[in-house]
This record gives sequence, structure tokens and C-alpha cells, in this order.
Amino acid sequence: MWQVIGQDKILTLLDNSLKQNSLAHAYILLGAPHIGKMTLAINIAQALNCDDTKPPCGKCQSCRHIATGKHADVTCVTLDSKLTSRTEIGIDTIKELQRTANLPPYEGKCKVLIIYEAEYLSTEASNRLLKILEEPPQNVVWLLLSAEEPRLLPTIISRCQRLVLKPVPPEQIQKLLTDSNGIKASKAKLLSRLCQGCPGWALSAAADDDLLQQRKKRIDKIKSLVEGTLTQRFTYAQQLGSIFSKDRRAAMKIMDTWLTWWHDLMLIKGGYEEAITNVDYGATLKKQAKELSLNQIKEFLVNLFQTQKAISMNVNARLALESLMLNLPTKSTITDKV
Amino acid sequence: MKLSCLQENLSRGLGIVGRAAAIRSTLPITQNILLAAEESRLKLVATNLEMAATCWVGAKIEEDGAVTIPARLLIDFVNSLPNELIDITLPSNSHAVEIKSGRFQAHINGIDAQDFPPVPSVSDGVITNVTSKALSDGITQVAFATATEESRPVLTGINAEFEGERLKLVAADGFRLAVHEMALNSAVGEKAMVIIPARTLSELNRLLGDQEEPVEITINQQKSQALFRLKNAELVSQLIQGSFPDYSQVIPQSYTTRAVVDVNEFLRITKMSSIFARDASGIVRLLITPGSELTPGKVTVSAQAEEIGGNVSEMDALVDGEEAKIAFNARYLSDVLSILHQPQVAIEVTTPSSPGVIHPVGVDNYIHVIMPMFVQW
Repeated sequence: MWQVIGQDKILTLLDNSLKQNSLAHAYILLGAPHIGKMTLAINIAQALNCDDTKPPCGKCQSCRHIATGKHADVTCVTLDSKLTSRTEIGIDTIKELQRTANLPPYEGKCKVLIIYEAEYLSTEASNRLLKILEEPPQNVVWLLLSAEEPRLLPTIISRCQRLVLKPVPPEQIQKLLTDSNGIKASKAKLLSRLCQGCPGWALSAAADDDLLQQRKKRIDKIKSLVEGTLTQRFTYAQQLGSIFSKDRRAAMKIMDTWLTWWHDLMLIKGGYEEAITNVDYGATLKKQAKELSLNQIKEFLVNLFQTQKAISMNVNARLALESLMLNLPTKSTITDKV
Repeated sequence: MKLSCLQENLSRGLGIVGRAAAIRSTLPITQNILLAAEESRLKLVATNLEMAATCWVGAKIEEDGAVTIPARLLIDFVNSLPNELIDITLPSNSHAVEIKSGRFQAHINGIDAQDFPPVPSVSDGVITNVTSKALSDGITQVAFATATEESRPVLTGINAEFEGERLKLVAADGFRLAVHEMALNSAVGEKAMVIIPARTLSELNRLLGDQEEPVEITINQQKSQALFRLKNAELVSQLIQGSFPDYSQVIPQSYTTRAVVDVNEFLRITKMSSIFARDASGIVRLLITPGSELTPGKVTVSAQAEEIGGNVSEMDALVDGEEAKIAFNARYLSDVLSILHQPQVAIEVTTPSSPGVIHPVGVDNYIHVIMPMFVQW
């Protein structure tokens, strides 16, 4: 049983390759964070080492060991694992993997080497990897996982089969949450919308209320800033700027919340309420949407995109955010336009 | 699990398997040693997924059981205990081992033995056995020539060719080649060629030091694993997959000049020249001059380093053929000279650009080929 949901096309492809025993030597699994890349990777590893007739069974010893990370032939390197430095996956890690790759499987049938967040491979490490991908040893399957394809070397991509994971429809996620995890329908609905097609996020948010609390804090801030004074906005820009310098990802997450909020405003303005993400804030969104013109929403969304892009390219985060805050429609402009 | 054994025995056992435990690994349990009480013996197992070492230690078993505990911690603790009886207890439903000896005691948190990667079983296939001294000599004479760089994985191992009653060990790193041939105690049924990781063989060599009995070698049918059975221990090695390059063409079939020299003298003057060669890409130059009726032949070893200086040393030699010049990397020369037992060695060369051959005099089971360095004479 594949545990991945909503990726039927990929699963059919893999099932067929497994039946014909014609799996590629390397795959790149692409898709947004939490969409199910790791789950799929673990499933592929299980399928390759499963003793059952219909792999992956998820029940045999190999499958269980792989799921718990105890199988000798399934190696996963990540940015945080002990073997790598914190900022990139270095050449030493790849050398180690190369050594492993040239030895036969220890206890299973096939070695599976997983590189999580492959976009963090250093250039030397990537080039080193090319050599092994070019002349793959027998019984080894490489799985490169990445959320940001443009940051991978084109030479690496061209040597692997690309599997692009699509966002999972909210209904499927909702079903997964209610049926297999026993979560209340109302919460499941909210989570399935909030996760934006990434079941992994929904599951971790269901298990950890903290994620939802954090989101609520973010949303409240975003909601209030439209009415806020210039001083409040600048304080916010400064806060977000300092978060960014400490933890890029956290700041980007906040920017994403901004995007969902304004996206929702646009959807409501356009008369497509059913599709909004922040279902629990429907009333507030409606009220704000009424006060804004479609053009204002559109312009601010463009602004948001540009700011996000600019700070990811290392412009001064605080300046960019202050400029964004200045462009945020204010109460006065709102009343002007009404 | 409940057992008691002598510190001396446990310490020796841990010494045998300890080096096989992984130092850093993505699979944390490989940094542990498996302790299993079975049939009046304590079994110790360690693996780094490249090799797996198993060793049995005599012990008084009161209750069966198994657990894994961190290798470093266990070894260091056991080695610091006096040579007395050690009691090892593992309470049921727990992974914390209690180790007690006289007035000393410790408890170490372990991991469930169920999660320990099983040692691959190697049974059928090619089976033979060889004198441990011969195998040890063979490994010593070729292991240093393996490549340390991973870019050509097959060269990081030693190619072992089993045929009839002979075993040939070959190692090469692209600049040098070492071939050692030895006799097997029993003939193999079919010819087999496998590449054994140099790290495992060096480890095996260490274990061979204290054993006189022959070693039993088994290679499985898929040619993926090899088992070396020693007196009280077993070493299973993963075999490097791939084919070893055809080295036979590299070995020159003839020579124009052959010089026989004293090994120790040659090693001494090579090392002397290497001091100067350090600043000159390690290059030492050999000039072989044949003797005439009155003067003996000689070999001149020299090194020249720009701006620093140079040196020239001479030694007597029995030279056969015409005058010859050749340059080598000093380290490659001293590496091979320092592992030879024979008193005399022959250097065979043709031109300055073709490989040189080192042959110990008096035996015909070892040959070493070194690629020359290109220099302006």
C-alpha cells in the first residue's frame, strides 16, 4: 500500500516500473515542502526491499525497519544530519555515499540513497554526485528530494527522472484527516485548506496545536495592520526584518501567510468565496474586501510577490518590508476610494 | 540476560570487533556493539555496513538475551577495569545494561538488539583456506598500493583472484601496481575474482597477527560478500562491485637494464633523497651505470630542488644491460622497499618513460610496477 495520497499518476508510473523491474537509477522528487516527498521516498525504498508480492506492503520486517529509519541499506542525508555542515550538504557527505553506493546491499535487495533538500548540495558535492549518477552501480537507487528545482544543477536534473508531486485536492486531505486520523470535520476542513495541498503540513498541524496558534497570531497581525498607524507598520517591518536575519524560513512563512490572506481577499472580491484558504476568518475577510477595491488588492499582491522575491535575493530585508508597509492600503486611502 | 566473564577475555574480544564499529554513521546503531549470550559463550558483533566482525568470548551464562551498547563507551570502560570477573546483567524489558566488577560498577543505556543490522550469512560459493602468515604477508605487500581517492571505487579495494591452488592479490592506484601470489591450502572449484575493500583487509591483517591456524575464506555465489573465519572470530566483508582494470598489460614483459641492489641501502638513500625531493614534487632520479672490468656497476639516486639544493647518493649494484635513467616519486619507492623481507631487490627498466619494475630477488611471487615521472635530464 502506497501511503502517498493524491499522486496517482506518479504511483501508476512507479507501479509499472516495479512490475517490469525497470526502475530508473535516480529520481528527483519535486514539490512544495510537506507535500509528501519524503513519504514517497520511504515508500519507494520499501517497495524496492519489500518481501511481499505486492510491494510496498508496509508490514514485513524490511518495510517496518525502513519506516523507522533502521534499515542498513536505506541512507538518508539531510542538511541537519551529523555528517553535514549546517549551511550546505558538502562533498564529504557525497564521498561517503559514493563509497556506500559501490558496495552491495547489506541486508536488503537494493540500496536506496536519499538526499533530502537536495538544493542545499554544494557545487562541489553536486559535481561529485554527477559522476556516480553517470555510471550508476548496480542495485542502487538515488532519490533526490527538493522543493526548489531552480537551485539544482541542470546537469544533475538531466541525469535523473523527474517526478513532480502535485498539490493534493483539499477534499482528499480532509478525508485523510477525518478517516485515518480521527480529526473533527470542522478542524479537518480548516487544515485541509490551510495546508495548500500539502498533507504533511495538515498532519503536523493536527498533531501540534502550536502551528495553528502561531498562524492565528500572524493572521491577527496582518488583519490589524490595514487599520494600523504608520508607526505600527514600521515596527512590524522592523520585527519581521529581524526575524528574517535570524531565520529565513520563518520569515518566508510569514510572507506566505500574507499571500494567502490577500489571495483570499481577491477571491472574495471576485465572488468565489468557496475557494478561500482562511475559512475561519471568513467574516473578517468579507468586511475587509468590501472596504478595498479590486485594483488595490491586485496591486498589493504584486507588491507582496516582488518583496518576497527581492528579499530572497538578499536585498536589505527591513528596507524592502518598510516599503511594502508603505504600499499597504491605509484606512484613509480606503475611504477615499469608496 | 545475565552472565559473567573475565575482564581479560572480554577486553580481548572487544579489541577484535571494536574497530569494525562505525565511527560516524547515518545509522546510529552501527556505533554500538551487539552483546548476545548464547550457549555458554558471549557473542560480540560490530559492523559499519562495510565489514562485520563477530567474536566469541568464553562466559558463564545464567540467562540468555541480547542488547547493543555504544562501542566506545563499553570498550573504554572495560579496558579500565582490573583483570577480574565481570558480571553483566540486562534486566528484562530494559535496555540499560549493568556491568559490575568487584567494587566497580556502571550502567550503560543501550538499544534493542532487534534493530541491529543482521550479519550477512555467507555459506555456499567458493571455499578455501590459507595459512595466516602467507595471507598476512600478501596483504602487507599490496594494501599500501590501493587508491585512497574514491573517484575510481574499484581501485580502493584489493583484487583477489582465486584459481586452482593459487590466490593472487592485486592493488593499483593508477601510478603503481602491486601483485602478490600465494598458495592456497586447498584448491578452489571454480575461478573467482572479487574486489575486497582495502580497509577490511587491513583490519583482517591486524587480526591475523595473533593466530597461527589457517584462515578459511568463503565467497558467496553472488560475489557480494566474503567471509574470513579465524580461530575465535569471523569477519564478513562487503565486496566492491565492478570489474578491476586489466593490469597485465601494465607489467613490462622485458627490460633493457636490470640492477640488483641491497634493499636496506636502497631504502636508506631513497629516504635521504626524499628530503630534498619534498620541494620538487617528490621526484628522485635514478641513474643506473653498468660496471666495467675493474669497476662495479652502480645506481645513483639524486634529487634536485630549485633554490634549495640537491643531493646525490651512490650504491654498488650488479648491473645487467646498458646505462639507464628513470625518475620516480620517492614515496612510491620507499613504500615498496620498506615492506620487502628479502635482502636484495632487482630494478628493471627500459626507457625513462616506461614503467619500472621492482622484483625482490630469490622469490617469484611478488612484482611491483611504478610509473615513472617525466623530467628533463
